[in-house]
Amino acid sequence: MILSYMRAIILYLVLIGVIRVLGKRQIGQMEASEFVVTMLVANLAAIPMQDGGIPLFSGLVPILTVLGVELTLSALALRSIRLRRLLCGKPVILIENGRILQENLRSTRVTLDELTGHLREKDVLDVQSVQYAILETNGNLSVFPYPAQLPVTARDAGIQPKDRLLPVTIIEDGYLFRENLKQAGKDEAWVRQILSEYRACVANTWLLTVDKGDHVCWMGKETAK
Amino acid sequence: MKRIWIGIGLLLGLLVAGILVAEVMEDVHMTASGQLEQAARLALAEDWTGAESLTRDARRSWEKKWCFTASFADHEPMDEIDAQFAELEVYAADREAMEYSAAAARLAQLLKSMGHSHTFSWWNLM
Repeated sequence: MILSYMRAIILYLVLIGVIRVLGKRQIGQMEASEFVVTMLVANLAAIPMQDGGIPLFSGLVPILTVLGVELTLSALALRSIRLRRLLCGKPVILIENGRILQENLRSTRVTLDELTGHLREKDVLDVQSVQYAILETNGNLSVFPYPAQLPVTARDAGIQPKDRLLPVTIIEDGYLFRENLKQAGKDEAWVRQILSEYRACVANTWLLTVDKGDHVCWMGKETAK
Repeated sequence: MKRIWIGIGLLLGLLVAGILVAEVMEDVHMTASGQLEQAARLALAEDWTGAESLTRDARRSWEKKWCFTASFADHEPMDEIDAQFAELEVYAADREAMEYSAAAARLAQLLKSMGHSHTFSWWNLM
């Protein structure tokens, strides 16, 4: 039992490391090759985790091999459009100017039900209101309604809204980020002054952010009930 | 750019390590296997001193690389090999030539199969 315990920890840490090395895309939207890698790696780790009679390397070596292949191919795909097309395919237009391209629908093996289902997920009920619908290489459907169907923007209304300013996190869960403080052009004296306004300290601050317009957001920690 | 070198480095490193492991495994198992085959012949010729000496050498070769083998091979056949070495000692102590030779030949074949299973061949790949 202790062996299964240790193996599970080791393989878990290896998997986390592999997924981190492969990048955020593994966790979010995946291309076909990335999906294959994720499934493979998970299954490869499970085998030595469950069976103590199989050496740990029986799981680690294939995992590391798959990692090596994926890193190499993904780096090469960045440089070669042909390889990228081969590995990921290319986006396919399914709706153009309100008309469903039936041949493209057939070639991508997407049914009409699936297409209308995806459109409903994007709050589109009328196919003819869609200027373009594109099936991306990761299987997602990008939907672009006609401009006349889009909500009015500030530009359309001739309004000049204020620019969005990105807040910088200064304190999070009682921890002061000194590098962010420097980035925001502030110092610890400023932090003490702000916290004194809220009658707080670093330890009992849940969140403190500031943006370039000096807009401060402070939230204190809630006491456990 | 760094990722491609990490990927290629990882693949090459694993390939080289795989080749080295296969060579060590084949060497260990073939050596022990050869010694046991010879021991089987000596036992049939009633040369028990020679047979026992070769059996001890084979066991020593096997045990010397036991941890290495356990890191890369399934443990079930390894347990079987350990059990068969113990069986051989009993037959040798009893001077049972036929049983000893059969057991030694069986163990030699098992070691040979284990050594071969780590080498690159088309049937292993399939």
